[in-house]
Amino acid sequence: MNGVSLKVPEGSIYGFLGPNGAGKTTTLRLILGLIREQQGAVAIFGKALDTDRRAILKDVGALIESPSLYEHLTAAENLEVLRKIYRRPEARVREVLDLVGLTDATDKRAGRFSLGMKQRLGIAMALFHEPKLLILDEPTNGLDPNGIVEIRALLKECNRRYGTTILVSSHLLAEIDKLVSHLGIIADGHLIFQGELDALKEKGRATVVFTTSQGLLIREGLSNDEIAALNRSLIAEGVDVHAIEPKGDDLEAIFMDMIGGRGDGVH
Amino acid sequence: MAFTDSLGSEWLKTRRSLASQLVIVGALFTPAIVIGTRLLHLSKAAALSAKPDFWPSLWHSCWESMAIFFLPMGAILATALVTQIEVRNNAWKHVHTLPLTPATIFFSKLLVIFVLMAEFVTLFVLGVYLAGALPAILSGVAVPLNAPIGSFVRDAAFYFLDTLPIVAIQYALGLRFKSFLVPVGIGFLAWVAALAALSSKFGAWLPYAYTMLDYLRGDTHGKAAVPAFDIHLAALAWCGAALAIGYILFATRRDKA
Repeated sequence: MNGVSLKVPEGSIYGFLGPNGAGKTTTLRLILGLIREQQGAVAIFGKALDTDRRAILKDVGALIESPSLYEHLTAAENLEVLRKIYRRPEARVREVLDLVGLTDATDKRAGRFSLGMKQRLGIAMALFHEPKLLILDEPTNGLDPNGIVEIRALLKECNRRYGTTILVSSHLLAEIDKLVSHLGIIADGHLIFQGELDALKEKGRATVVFTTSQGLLIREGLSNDEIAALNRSLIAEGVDVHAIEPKGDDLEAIFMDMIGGRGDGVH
Repeated sequence: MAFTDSLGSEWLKTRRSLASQLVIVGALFTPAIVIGTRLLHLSKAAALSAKPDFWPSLWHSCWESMAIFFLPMGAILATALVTQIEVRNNAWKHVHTLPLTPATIFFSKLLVIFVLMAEFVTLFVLGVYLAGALPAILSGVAVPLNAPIGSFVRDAAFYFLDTLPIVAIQYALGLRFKSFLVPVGIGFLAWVAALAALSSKFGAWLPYAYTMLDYLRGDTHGKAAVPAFDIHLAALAWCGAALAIGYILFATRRDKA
């Protein structure tokens, strides 16, 4: 990792996107203190993780890769494990199970849950203590399309109802596109874009691609008059112009262009 | 307060776990065998109950298998099973993102194992009492009331102390290695080594030997070389040293996930 500084606005859903091996999980683990940085420091909410770890973690919920469930315990008991630590009222257990749609599975052992139910219980555990920041690493991994839709709806509901800031990593472009308001793109341990998703798409729309007899010509921020002028000058110089098209707001195209075709494992 | 919160949370994790089941089965195994044997020979119950050393004799014979095998093995397995609760459920990464200090996590889990071992010994003591009383009751013989309870409680407390170095070493190993087999394998080999070294002068220096030495302390057949020092203090010293090393390894681990 090199100089990665994620600016996650309060109340946003921030997508952390990158190809496999780009450093998404490593970044999230560093943020949570699960691995120690070799150089530099991690700060969240303006506090240093090294010195204010407990205070920071009180306001952070996390689900890193697969959910950490005690499979010999029921759904309610899994949340009870957390209730004792966070000192929340007993009613909070039922409330969170309602929120993630597991009310009917309250007394069912987590080991007997389907993958989708496990993922929902994992998210319930992450947001049990009403954290300001929810960190989720590939929360839809391994889920069927229905499960993906359910988790997406759940995260949007948490964000809307409680104002929870969500940092979610994924390599699923379509998923990120439908879920997030802000985006960070990482490749080879470097953050190559950070900002609003709409701004990124706008940037894509403002990019025009000329397909010519001498190859592709890509220009950003041209007005209609400038596009016409460039076309005329190319023709005047004897270059055949085969097509002029906006690059579009397709996240996949923008992403592939940004990472220079290193999109292994990105869908 | 965070420690007691964490302790309650850790104790809940042992509900329906293999560790808690092992404690019950392991503690009651020997008393169950004794009860079964005595029920098969119910006609001898009156003669047995009339013996003046009824309770000391029963106590001593029950502790033989317990002190030599079940207690050290129970400590090895229960400790490994408790640490495996996090490994098997892929939960260490979650535990380390809770607002708890490494010391709170380390010592609350350790205390749960200590409580499980205390439960192990307590259940065994109750089992021994049942092994003495039940056959007598079923055969209509009066239960001898001369059980030296104070001496039994003291013995049980010392046996518990003797298991602490095993728990501490196994705990450090269980936190260090993901595999269940590594700490259990090392523990089993250490127990075999201690058993083999009992009669030598080095036996008393081995941390896995103290429950066996405690049982054999009155032995006159040379099965164990009784040391000049207090083995219970030695057990506590081993326990403290192993916990210090275990905690340093736990708290300074680079990858906590």
